[in-house]
Amino acid sequence: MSIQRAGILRMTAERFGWVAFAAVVAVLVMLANARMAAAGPVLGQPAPPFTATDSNGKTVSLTDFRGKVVVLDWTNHECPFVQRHYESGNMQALQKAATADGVIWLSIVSSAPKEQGNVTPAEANKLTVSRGAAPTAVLLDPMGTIGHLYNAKTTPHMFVIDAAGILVYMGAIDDQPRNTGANPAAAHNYVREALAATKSGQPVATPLTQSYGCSVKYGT
Amino acid sequence: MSLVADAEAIAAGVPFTLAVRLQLPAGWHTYWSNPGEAGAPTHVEWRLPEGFTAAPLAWPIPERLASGGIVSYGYAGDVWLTARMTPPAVLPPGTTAPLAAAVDWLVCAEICVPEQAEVTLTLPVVAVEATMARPAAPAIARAFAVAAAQVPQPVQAPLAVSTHDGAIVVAISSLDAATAATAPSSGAVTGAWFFPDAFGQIDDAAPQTLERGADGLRLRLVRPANVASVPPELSGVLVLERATGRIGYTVRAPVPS
Repeated sequence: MSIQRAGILRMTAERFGWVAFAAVVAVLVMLANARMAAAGPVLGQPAPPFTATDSNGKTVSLTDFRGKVVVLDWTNHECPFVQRHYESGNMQALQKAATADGVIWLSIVSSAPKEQGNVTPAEANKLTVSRGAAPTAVLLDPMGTIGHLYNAKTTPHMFVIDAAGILVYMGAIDDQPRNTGANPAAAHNYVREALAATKSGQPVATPLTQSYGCSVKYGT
Repeated sequence: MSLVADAEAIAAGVPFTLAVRLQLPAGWHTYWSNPGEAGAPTHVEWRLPEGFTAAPLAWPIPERLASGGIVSYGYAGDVWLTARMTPPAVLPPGTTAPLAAAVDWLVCAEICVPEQAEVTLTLPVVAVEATMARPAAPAIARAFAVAAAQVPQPVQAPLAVSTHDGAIVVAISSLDAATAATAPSSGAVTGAWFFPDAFGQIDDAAPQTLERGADGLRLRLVRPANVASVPPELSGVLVLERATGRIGYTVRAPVPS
């Protein structure tokens, strides 16, 4: 606590008495906790719950999927890094393998209106068909609410949540951040590894990596 | 994008410097070796004749680039990525040395565009004693001097790092004192920034605050929010700004848990 803030607290205590002072301190502690909770998801802790509308107009809540493993995949179809993973077929293959295994795959678009990657529900569905993508749902988050809740920084930015709702992986899709010359097929795919570990009840060997790609286009 | 040398001719065993120069239009930027929260570093692969060796790329000190709450580390404007080159001990005068670099880089404004190019430069080979007579043009020599001043310097001053709640506090008075006398700069420190060389040391997006406490200058950083443990060390570049400009220092210091 800074000296200035302690001084203000002491003045407050003298004016309103110690009961009021204790109440002020309690509120400050609550505010501090709320700020920490707002700082983003924490590995090994319950993944922050959210509710969103998918590209078919359906309401989707994270809690709907308790008992299933969930992948969150921040995406922007105009970002070259995302394009690389779709043009190589890497992303679709991962989605198909995961969903065939009972995993819920939520692709999330947090691009603000008029920003790169912002799509209408119809455009989102068209992209899923044209790219042969296989997410369980595409969530539209034009206000960036879920993006900020998860501190999603890049596209792609990947999160894996286990069947108990605990965040077990956050970061890059793989270890090939170069935008050219990278080979997704030869990459060390962190999401595939996290899913395999979670399936066999093992801890995820690499739970946190530096995500790479375009910044999420939250707008200003 | 071009390849520039600090010499008009080279000779056997006489080191020289090559620069990959990127001239970015206003509003566009490229990234440091650690791009921060988004982006990708520029990648340079040298294509040199047999026997030439290249030192690691010397990255100039980056800037914090903030956009939509996301903070990256990178460059705007005229970017010089340099590397010291050493020709082989035997190199016949009268020949030429074809030098090249395969470069891929990401350039972003509101949107990001991946680019790649091969840049080449062929230099004449002269006798060792003749290289002194063939320096680069004054404007090129000046540009290399400016670029060299932007490369972080190693420093011996130990950094004291402490942790308080969510903060990592770096005492920089000893660095200030150790460098004020030797740096090509003078005056009081008016700004300071830490650029971690790898992910996970600090909360990249959090503000960095320069404070003047009873024990001198301190730089307050915020530890990463999403991990349980404090990173064991800070490793990267500490930049001090004085009236005469910014100087970067490569630093490494343990963080108490």
